[in-house]
Amino acid sequence: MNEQNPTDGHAALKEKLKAQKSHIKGWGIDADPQNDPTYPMRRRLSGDKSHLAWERPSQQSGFEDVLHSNERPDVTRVFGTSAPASGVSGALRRCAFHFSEGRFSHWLLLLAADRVDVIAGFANDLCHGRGSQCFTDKGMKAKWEHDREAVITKAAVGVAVVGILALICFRRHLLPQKPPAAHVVLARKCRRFLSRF
Amino acid sequence: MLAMNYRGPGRVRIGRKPMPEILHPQDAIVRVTRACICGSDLHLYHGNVPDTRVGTTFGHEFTGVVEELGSEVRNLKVGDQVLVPFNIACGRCVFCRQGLFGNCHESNPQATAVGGIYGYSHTAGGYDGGQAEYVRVPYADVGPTIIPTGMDLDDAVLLTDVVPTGYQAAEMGGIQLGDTVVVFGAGPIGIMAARCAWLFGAGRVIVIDQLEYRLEFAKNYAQCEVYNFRSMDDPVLFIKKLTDNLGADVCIDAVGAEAAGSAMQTITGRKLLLQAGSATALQWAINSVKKGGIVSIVGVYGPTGNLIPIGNVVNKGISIRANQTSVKRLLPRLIEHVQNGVLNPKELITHRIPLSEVSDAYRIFSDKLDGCIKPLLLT
Repeated sequence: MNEQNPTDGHAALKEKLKAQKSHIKGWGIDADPQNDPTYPMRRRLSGDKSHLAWERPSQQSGFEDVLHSNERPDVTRVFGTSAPASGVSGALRRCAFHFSEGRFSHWLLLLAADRVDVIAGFANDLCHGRGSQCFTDKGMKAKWEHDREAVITKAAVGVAVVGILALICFRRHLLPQKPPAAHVVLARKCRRFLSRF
Repeated sequence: MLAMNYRGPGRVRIGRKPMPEILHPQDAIVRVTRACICGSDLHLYHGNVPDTRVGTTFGHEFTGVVEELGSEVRNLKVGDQVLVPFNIACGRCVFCRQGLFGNCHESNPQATAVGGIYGYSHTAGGYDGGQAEYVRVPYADVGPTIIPTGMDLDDAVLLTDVVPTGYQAAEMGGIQLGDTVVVFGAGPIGIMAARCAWLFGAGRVIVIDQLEYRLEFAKNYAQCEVYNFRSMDDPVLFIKKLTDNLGADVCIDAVGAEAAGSAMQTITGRKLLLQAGSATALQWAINSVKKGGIVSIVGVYGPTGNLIPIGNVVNKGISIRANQTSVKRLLPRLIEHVQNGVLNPKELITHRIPLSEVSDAYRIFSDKLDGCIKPLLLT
């Protein structure tokens, strides 16, 4: 069998390509013929498996209420505290963590909780008189400044949609009533007459 | 203190939050000097990442000054200027000891698949991020790296994610001398991946995107070929024709879950959330790579599943290599490259916006307004 060393001719090829790519600063300085992608990119540790246990850092306090994946035995030694689970969305999140990360139920419940959280956040804004901040939160100032056409188009479409919906909902009040057809009038009269008996 | 505050899909604001506190003996409190918005922050901004709670502060690319230290921190002192890798890593667990700092097992209680990340939802640990005046930095002896004297802060902030992620994308591609490398996505990561592909000896580098201004930027910054997929019927066929009908040696997915280009992927992945994002770029990468070639994924996807041609992966004998970037592992080499002028990351920054205008900054970046490549938030 004719085996070829992967590094054979490497230096010559590199010199040739380097000359061609001389306009690209740093070309080839990290080229590594040993970088074999069929192996995971990690330093292999000894085969005795003792590395699988490690001295764990001390535990951050307040871990009792932290939700954790059921694929791990406990809470990690540190964790974030940005927005603890609370309210209806919190209940959904607690429910989600009964399922493992491999289950759709886990992620769907978390997404549902996120949407409930957004509604609760918006209600909270309304209660505190910050409802109008919705537009500034969306960065509409920048949008207006850089893409006015899109804002106007979007607004026009919005107005049109609302108008059509209003027309459908209130058409009885908004549109002139046509006189009923002759057969409808006749049917009504018959019904009234029959109701006497 | 002032901090960015997530309110719901497409809505963020600046607000006041309590100052962060030392909660663990290995914590530090850092006063933020520079913070960037990352393309992956947009997945959070659009409400695509599960367990993104209202009130969270985003931001995993930041530099700052150490203000306070926990009792067990030994490698830093108050006043140090640091760049903080986006991964939160303990440095002790089996994964950290193998150099997999993006896969730490002691920093994220909510999910085992990913380690802790600053400001990246509770799926990545529930930590507040650096788009704020101050931030809590756990395991401060491991991640934060003192910024070398003379290094520009704008370069330093991009060493926390953009540069290492672009570099690792190229490294994972196992690029060999003269290889043809196709990068999908001309965002900051894609542009950096294209630039770094040359460092590994690529013979040809091609970038595919749909935005002309970004392609133009990539062409100038990374000195590569660029093509707009909107101008071609079939990007896979186009790449095959560019590469002697065999395909590229290496394809890099630098787009992730919000890729455009396929109505079916967009509707099922981005609109209906029936899959973990739109996997158009990944689908193209798998179909455009040569038999026996390598697909390197640094684009971010959700935790559920995606529609990709796995049968073609098997039939073509493709190696797929992917991971969250191990910033800590790569930093020494990359600092050297920046100091030697081989890489010039700060050129990617197109917008400098005060933190107080964070809502506008997100809108500009999200909607690709005003020729935006990379926005920097100034505190």
